[in-house]
Amino acid sequence: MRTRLTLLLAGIALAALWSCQDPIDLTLPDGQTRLIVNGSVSDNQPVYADLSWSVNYLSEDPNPAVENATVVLFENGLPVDTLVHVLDGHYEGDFVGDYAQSYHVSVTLPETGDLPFGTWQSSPEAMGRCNPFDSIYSAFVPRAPFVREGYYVYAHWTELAGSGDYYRARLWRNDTLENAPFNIQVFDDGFLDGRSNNDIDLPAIEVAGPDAIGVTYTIEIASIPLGLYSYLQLLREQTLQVGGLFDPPPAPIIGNIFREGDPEDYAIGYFYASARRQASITITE
Amino acid sequence: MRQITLFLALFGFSAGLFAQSVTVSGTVTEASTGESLPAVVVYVLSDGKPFSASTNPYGFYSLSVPAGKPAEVKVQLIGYADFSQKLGSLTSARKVDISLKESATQLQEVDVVSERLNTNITTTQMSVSALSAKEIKKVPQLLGETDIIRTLTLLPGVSTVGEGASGFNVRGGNADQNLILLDEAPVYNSSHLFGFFSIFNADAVKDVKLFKGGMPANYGGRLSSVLDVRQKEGNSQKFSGTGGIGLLSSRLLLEGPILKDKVNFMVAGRRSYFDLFFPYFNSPELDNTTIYFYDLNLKLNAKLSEKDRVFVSAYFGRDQFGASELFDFGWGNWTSTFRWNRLISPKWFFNATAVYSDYTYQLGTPKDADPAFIWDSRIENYVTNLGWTWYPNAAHTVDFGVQNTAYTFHPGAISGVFSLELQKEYATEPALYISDDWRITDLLTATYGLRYSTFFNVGGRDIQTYLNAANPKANEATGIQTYAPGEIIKSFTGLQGLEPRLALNYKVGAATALKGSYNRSRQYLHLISNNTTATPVNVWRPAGTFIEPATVDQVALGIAHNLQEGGIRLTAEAYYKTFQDLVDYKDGADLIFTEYIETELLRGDGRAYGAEFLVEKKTGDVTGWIGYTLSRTERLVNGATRDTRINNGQWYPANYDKLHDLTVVANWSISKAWEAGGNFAFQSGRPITYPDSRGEFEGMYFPVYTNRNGARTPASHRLDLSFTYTPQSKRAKKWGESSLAFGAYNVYARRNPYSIFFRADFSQPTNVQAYRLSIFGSVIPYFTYNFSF
Repeated sequence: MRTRLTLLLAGIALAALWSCQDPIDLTLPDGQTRLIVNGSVSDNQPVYADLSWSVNYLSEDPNPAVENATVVLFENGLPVDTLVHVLDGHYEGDFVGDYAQSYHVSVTLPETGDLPFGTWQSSPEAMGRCNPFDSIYSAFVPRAPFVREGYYVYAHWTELAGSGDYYRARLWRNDTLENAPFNIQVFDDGFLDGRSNNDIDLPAIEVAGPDAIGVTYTIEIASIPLGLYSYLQLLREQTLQVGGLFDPPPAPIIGNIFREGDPEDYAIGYFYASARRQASITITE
Repeated sequence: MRQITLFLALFGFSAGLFAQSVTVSGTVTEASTGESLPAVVVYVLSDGKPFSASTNPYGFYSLSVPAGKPAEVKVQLIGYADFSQKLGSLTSARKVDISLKESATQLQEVDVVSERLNTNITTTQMSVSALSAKEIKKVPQLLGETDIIRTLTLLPGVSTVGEGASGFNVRGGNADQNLILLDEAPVYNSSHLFGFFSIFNADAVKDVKLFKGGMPANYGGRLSSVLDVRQKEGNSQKFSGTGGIGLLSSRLLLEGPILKDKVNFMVAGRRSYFDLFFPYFNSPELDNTTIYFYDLNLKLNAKLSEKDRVFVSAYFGRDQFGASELFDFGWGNWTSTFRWNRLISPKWFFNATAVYSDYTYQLGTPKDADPAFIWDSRIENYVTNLGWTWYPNAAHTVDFGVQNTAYTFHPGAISGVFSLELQKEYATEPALYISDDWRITDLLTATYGLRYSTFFNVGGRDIQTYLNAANPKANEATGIQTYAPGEIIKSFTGLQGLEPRLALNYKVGAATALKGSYNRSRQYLHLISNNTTATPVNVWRPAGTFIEPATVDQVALGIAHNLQEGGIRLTAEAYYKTFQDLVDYKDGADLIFTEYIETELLRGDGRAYGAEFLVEKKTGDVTGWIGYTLSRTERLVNGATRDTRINNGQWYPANYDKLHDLTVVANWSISKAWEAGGNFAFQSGRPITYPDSRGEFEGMYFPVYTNRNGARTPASHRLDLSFTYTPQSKRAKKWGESSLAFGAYNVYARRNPYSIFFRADFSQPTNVQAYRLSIFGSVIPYFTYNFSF
């Protein structure tokens, strides 16, 4: 809700301006190279982690993969799995997590040239809880002001009673994850603790639309820790709300990966625990 | 009692006890309208020796002169005919009310009172910019909309983050460090249209004074400046009107006597009309779109007796944006002031003011939408001021008083599809002040004073407690402490509330003065805004359990020199300011609808220093000024842990730090019918932050920033021109005066960089392009038809 309000405000403001945006040529100096660690453990999928190095912001190449790391998963402080490098910095394990258990990873890199080396650890994160979807359906919506005509996908979902839950929603269209920063959807239960998006208590969740008959959508709602909730909000803000009159100042996006024994020295990225729930539908007439 | 007598004797208050003197007092008004004129220097020549005093904000003056000597009162003011009245030999107090007639010609000759235009040489005031509505109207403006705040930013030491930014920055202060007063009522958002225009309708404004430093002790509550805007009182002599029709808006002011010389009124209104043209765009969406602002100014004043006068004034303004059933967004100020002036005696003046001020905004869906969602927020003030001015003798003018501001903060309430309300906050800010304007010798004058401010944050309210109160974190909350209504949650009553003020003026010859000032100010409110420029939905929060009051100390030194009997004024000032306990924000702070805002805040310090140079030409066919500022503004946020530091705890430039700022403002009276005006403004680039590298999260790339404000935009510059044609024929003046103003803003279509930012092509995330954002991308012409009758 807060994100929507912010975007609404930014949109209104931009509409009011005589502003113009001109592309310019600019070079940026290379900053400090940092390790990037992203991954998660969930209650229904095997643990994974992706490792790479940061590069110049204007580089047209992908971030270089880190392929020589030792990645170990810990549950409640005890090692439970060692992840194996599969391809291009992607590491996988077999372990599947449980609700309310605490998880973290350690990443150890040998000394190689001028690149950083040593051991980094993620902060322990407890796995939250998440209800499954009640239903998912598609419906035709006629044209109205600011509403385009067509088929829309809706879902009913009930939030678990008890405040302090944080969630992330993701969407696949025909099995392709919509994965740009503007697709980031995170929310907390501050406004809907224990309530239901069932078209009775609250309106149904508008998943997608308008779209064509035959298109398949999969929606996922996953519990996430407070830290990742803040991290993703910041990531979205720092990639989308940039440069304008009312935009926030640039800020470092720091996750939960720190050098072992030194909380001041951080790596980029986030490793988290998550309970994931999915529902799919193909739009029909 | 003996100590009090000794104190008075020491500071010269007793001079009147030992010398035979009489008091000359009265008010200074404008003849054609009856408006009182503040800050006018009144001279009494007693046996050839000049004595002088300035009128106070209500037009009252009082001065003591030797008894039994022939005396003559003189006033000379730019734009008015000279006033002179022989009083004969004074043996008792004399009331002399002065009515100044407007003069069509500028002062040309030199008079016996050589200081006629040299008030800047004799006054202790420094770091003050005073502009009349007439002067402001001559400056070329965006879309022809006379804008007081935009004009102020053309003066040294006053700047904005960039074109179109809301608010203004004075000598390194944040926009929330300016105390903006409209008829003594605090204004919390001075902008229309997100900052493109100010809320002040220049037609309804009498005069504007901006204190950048050396603040008098009767002002407090903000760190960096006081913008004191006074509305017209209304024409007490005849019914008249002023208006204008422009591209953006139209306006109309009516004023006149209800009972001649006893009760008069002023009412002014203004409305923009973008939205009235939307139906012609043949778009169903635009048909239901609203975008406009309006404001209404009202003033009524009554002369109850020769000694009593009351004023009632009000302002109501609002901005409204809406689109069909999608959203509705509005904000606005409402201020109302009741003021009572009483002339207790020729040596005592009393003013009592009661003010109600309300800033509110709503954001959400239209109220009748289904589902509806309405978000309300507001800040309410109840201000009471009791102030006395004592004129004990020719050497002293003493002001003292007591003030209180009671605040109610409504951070937010949501209604509609669900209901939720953030807790209200209550606070009160009592203060005492005393100051003395002391003419120590003919060459040396001083204004010294002391303000003592206190602040009480009171319940009822729940306060969250934390494991570490010095660095409160949302995930380290330990419980809730409940305070009953009226119970003091946190008080600030120590010696830190003492705010000494000192200003010195030393005349070096008739046309030169050396000046110095020191002031400490305290601010108990903070605008919680983490944007480059403030938005209408930013909320104000008071000092309390987790938020400290901010403090500033400012030292300024200056020199003023006049040429051509004050027709040309040269001013140079240097200042150094240190700030303590400024509010800053954690990276990625979530400030919207956040109950326990303390988890998002950081404590910081600041410093600002610079030199300002101003050359003003006040007389002749060509008038205007050249201003130049060389300055630095820096911030320091250096907490105990990484997440409470910015830039690793190193000093970094503030968003509005600009090394060079040059402005040239000129107005040329070509003939009676034609006037031309021009502005040129140049500013160094402002700080921005570039990414050091690129990070990644699950296939999404993002910038990695480690050095806030480590880079700068290119410099900005702009030229504006205006022309005014006033027909002079009798036929044209049959119904009153009229004029046509036209011109252009940003004449050579400079695309000044507001910011430089980066945007990725999300279908190819490694393809990132740098962009320059310019708020005004081209020349913006305007024309306005103005009339008066």
